[in-house]
Amino acid sequence: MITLQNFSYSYKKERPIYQDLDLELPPGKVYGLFGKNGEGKSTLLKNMVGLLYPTKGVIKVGNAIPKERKPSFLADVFMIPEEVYIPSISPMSFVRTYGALYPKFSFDHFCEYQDKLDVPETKNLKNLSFGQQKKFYIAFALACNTSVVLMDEPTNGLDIPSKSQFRKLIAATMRDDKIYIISTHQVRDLDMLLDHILIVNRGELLLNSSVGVITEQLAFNFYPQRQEHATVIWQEEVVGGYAVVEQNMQETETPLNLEQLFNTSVMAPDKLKEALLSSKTTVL
Amino acid sequence: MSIDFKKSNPIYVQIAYQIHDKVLLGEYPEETKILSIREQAIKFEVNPNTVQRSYELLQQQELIYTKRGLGYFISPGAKEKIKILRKERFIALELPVIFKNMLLLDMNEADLIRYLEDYKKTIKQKNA
Repeated sequence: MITLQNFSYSYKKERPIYQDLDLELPPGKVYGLFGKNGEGKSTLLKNMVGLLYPTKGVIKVGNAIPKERKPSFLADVFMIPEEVYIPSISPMSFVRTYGALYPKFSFDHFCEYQDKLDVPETKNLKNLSFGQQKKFYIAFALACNTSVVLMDEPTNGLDIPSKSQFRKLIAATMRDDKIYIISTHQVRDLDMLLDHILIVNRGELLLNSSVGVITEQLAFNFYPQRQEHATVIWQEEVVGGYAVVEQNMQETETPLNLEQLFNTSVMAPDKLKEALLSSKTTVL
Repeated sequence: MSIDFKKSNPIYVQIAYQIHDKVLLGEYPEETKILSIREQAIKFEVNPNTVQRSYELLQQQELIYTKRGLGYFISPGAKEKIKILRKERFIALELPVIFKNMLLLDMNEADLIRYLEDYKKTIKQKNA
């Protein structure tokens, strides 16, 4: 469980990124973290691993406080940054040096994941391209088998087959006692992997809801004409008609459309919250 | 009046339908062991919880069952049950669309029968 209480953070005093944010993230889920550029997605992840400290409030990951950077905590959490830093050494030295820091690291898993992501053999990691380095790092990160894995734009720089392999790896390694948080702009890369959606905007949590509740309460539809009825939450003109997010009045569900959901959360946040709050099985 | 052009099904239902198809096509005979939830999730690159929901739906429809510790298996009589389910769905959702178009295009029952006979013939030729 990751818990945030009154979490506030600011780089500059006059411009807080987060203010008094409360959030609880139970294990066993893949969380998708969305937000516009510069809205604090990476800031939030960095606070969760102790790379940044809350200006106010408390973050707890399990029983640990990230800010204290206790070895037992750091050995059980991994963050994949958007741009990975890879030292100029051989893959084996890297794995031996850094794998030793993670008690649950599995060399077999590492080889398997590296193979699946098609990371080429090399004498020195510096010889790999940006995308290849990132794949090497992802293989290593997942092989560390930590309870918490935070991923900042993990699919950036990955080629098309690797994106597919990445999704397979997430599905294969997710466990009930793990927390995966994936921050991304690539809504179509990962939408079918997510259990829970978090949307941040201007330091506020616009949406914190399970995909189950979202698809139960909202319908993502396409109509040839503009819709005027009261159940419409947000609509926008697209090629051939209107993409409409409306209250789901049917027994059946429509597939989640992350792009539409994101736009709705930014353009009609209050209406969206209201629609989700009417949920019978509120898991907000 | 509003028409839904893209009223597609949620992913968990689509996965369940795909298994329906495999049973109907004879790929999954009765008592076949199907992929585990995890394996299926990896195959389709979806969240294992989504496949969990698909399998719950299939269990609810009495099309698959679990053997403790061994996995999921196709239930006896699954094929017939799927046919009934599919028929209900076809009558409720797909036939009205066909009828609506027939009325719009001034087509009658005789036309429909003629095209059906033509279709049957082509199928026969293909299989011959």
